[in-house]
Amino acid sequence: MVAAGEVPELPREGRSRTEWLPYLLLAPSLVFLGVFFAYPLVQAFGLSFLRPEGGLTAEHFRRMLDDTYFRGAITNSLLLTAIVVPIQVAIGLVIALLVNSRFRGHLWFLYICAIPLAISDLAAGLIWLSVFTERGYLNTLLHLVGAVREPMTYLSAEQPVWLYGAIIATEVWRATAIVMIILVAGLQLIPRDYFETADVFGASGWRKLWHVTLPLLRPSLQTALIIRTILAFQLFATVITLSGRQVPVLAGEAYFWYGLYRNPHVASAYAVLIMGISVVITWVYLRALRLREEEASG
Amino acid sequence: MATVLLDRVTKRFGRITAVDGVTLEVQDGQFMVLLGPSGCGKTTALRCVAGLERMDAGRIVIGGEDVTDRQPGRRGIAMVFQSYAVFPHMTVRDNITFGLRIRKAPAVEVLRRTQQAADLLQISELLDRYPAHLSGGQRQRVAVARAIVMQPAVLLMDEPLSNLDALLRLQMRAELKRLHRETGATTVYVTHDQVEALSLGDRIAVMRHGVIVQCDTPSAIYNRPASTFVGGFIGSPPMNFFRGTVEEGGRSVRVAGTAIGLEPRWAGAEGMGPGSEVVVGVRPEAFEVMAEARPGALPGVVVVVEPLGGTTLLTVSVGGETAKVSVAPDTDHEPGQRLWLRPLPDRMRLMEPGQGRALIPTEGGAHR
Repeated sequence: MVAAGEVPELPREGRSRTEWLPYLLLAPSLVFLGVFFAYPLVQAFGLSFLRPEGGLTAEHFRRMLDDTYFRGAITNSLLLTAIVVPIQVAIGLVIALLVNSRFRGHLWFLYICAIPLAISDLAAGLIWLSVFTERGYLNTLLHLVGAVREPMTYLSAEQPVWLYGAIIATEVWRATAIVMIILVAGLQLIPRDYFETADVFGASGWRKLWHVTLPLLRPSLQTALIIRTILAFQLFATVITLSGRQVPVLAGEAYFWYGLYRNPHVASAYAVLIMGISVVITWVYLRALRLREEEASG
Repeated sequence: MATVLLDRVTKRFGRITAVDGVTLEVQDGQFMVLLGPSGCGKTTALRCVAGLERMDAGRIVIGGEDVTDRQPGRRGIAMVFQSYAVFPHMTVRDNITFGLRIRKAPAVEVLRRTQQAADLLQISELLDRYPAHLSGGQRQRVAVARAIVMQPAVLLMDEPLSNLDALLRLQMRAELKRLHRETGATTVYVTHDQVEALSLGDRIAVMRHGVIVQCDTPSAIYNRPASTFVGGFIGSPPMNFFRGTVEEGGRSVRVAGTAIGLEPRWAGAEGMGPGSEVVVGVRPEAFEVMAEARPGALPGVVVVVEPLGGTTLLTVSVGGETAKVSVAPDTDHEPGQRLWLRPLPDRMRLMEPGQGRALIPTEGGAHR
């Protein structure tokens, strides 16, 4: 702040506008976050730890832990995340690097790759259901080329590899685009001089990728990883569309407890558990991929 | 070490021709400065030498070898960028050794040369630091060390001092000159700062609109500019220009009613016919300032007096035109004072009024 009197007084109108404008611009986001995130968050905590008649309790968490589906749900959620997220980041990175190489038609390639972004997870699940279902595109294709005589059943607990594979394929198809977008934006933030310096010193393509691109892309990779991992724990619409409850997942259980068993308390316990896992994993990412303090701000 | 030749180099960006058939020869060990206003094509020309731009026409020859189709890394060059481009994720040491590691130089050699380059740039204490902990001037030194550690035949620099503050720039300028003397690398240096060009260059190539308008030694560029553009771009304040008419068969020129005698060499020049219009260029320090009327001295009135420490700058109104005159600081001048300015005959440049070209082309200039 400049000491009063040093600067000529601004007109009243102009001053009040400069003071309020930032808050005015922030307000919609704040209201949105407050109504749809902060309030439900507090509510979920309340529901999961309070008795309906009042007083703290661990009862809802105990019911969640004792539930038949719980073990499967947490295993599946962790396993799917561990498989899907690395695939998404790897493919997203390859596509982002391709786009950034500015080959002829790279913008069209980018737009096409970004299409799944606009499709809801439920719709994505239905699209892939139409591929993998008994009378779906996959069986039709296999039948046409004479690979199968009878339609095969893929989406059944008896075929866990196929069932898992279908979920993974759907998730990779649906959500790799967000990784790609984050990484394309990140790549474009890296000044061209760094790459040209590497060129002048005779660095090969691989060396440039390994010693220049990836290190400088680390903040974006971190963002993409955190976002994708958190969203992976919230996964349920595609899983339910493809498998019903054959592959239980954490967010799906929250949904079933809320919608099917009409028990918002246990549903909230699941939600709080998901949040807890997300917080821990985010913290791990932030630590593991931390920019050394020395490196921050090039 | 190596010579560098730009042979009829042309580079277009869409409909804009950034570099238009430029030919320039840099001798082995020479410090060549490409100087010009922004957008004149100097940086593009440098990037063509580096191989960072694909040329539309022409050749680049380094050390006698045509490198036009070679990758930047295979041209025997090193480069310092305007932004320094010091890798933020590497320590100073790793930055400096980057090129050597790519070349797979033996570890002992890497160590020796790194130490040598760090000593030369006085950054030995910073080797284990990250760039975020360095000042702008220190990063600049790292970028230069990273380039010279390669012992390149040709060192390219793109406005390396323009991001430094004034004092640091002055220091670094002298450092670069010392460095050039010690390494002897052929250097091509791009700048828009004419003082930098004059102080650093063995030769200066002045560019405008994608062509070289004059290429010569700093003193020739300063004293015998090839055009009004060069005279106006170089020197601070720039050269003064007066409109004049040729008289006495080219032995004198009349400016603001005063006949000024010329050196005999001008008499035979093209465009010096009797009655021809010419532009007379005189550097601010190339006047004899007198308190009374003398033959060949222009009458004027002092408008502004600016003491600059080492010199005093006068703004003088001469027959409706304004001249900048630099005089010794101990002289007594005040606004409103009448005085007479006699341009020193050996310091006058005569140009034609159209394109502003000097009527006697620069003597001994290798300008094409």
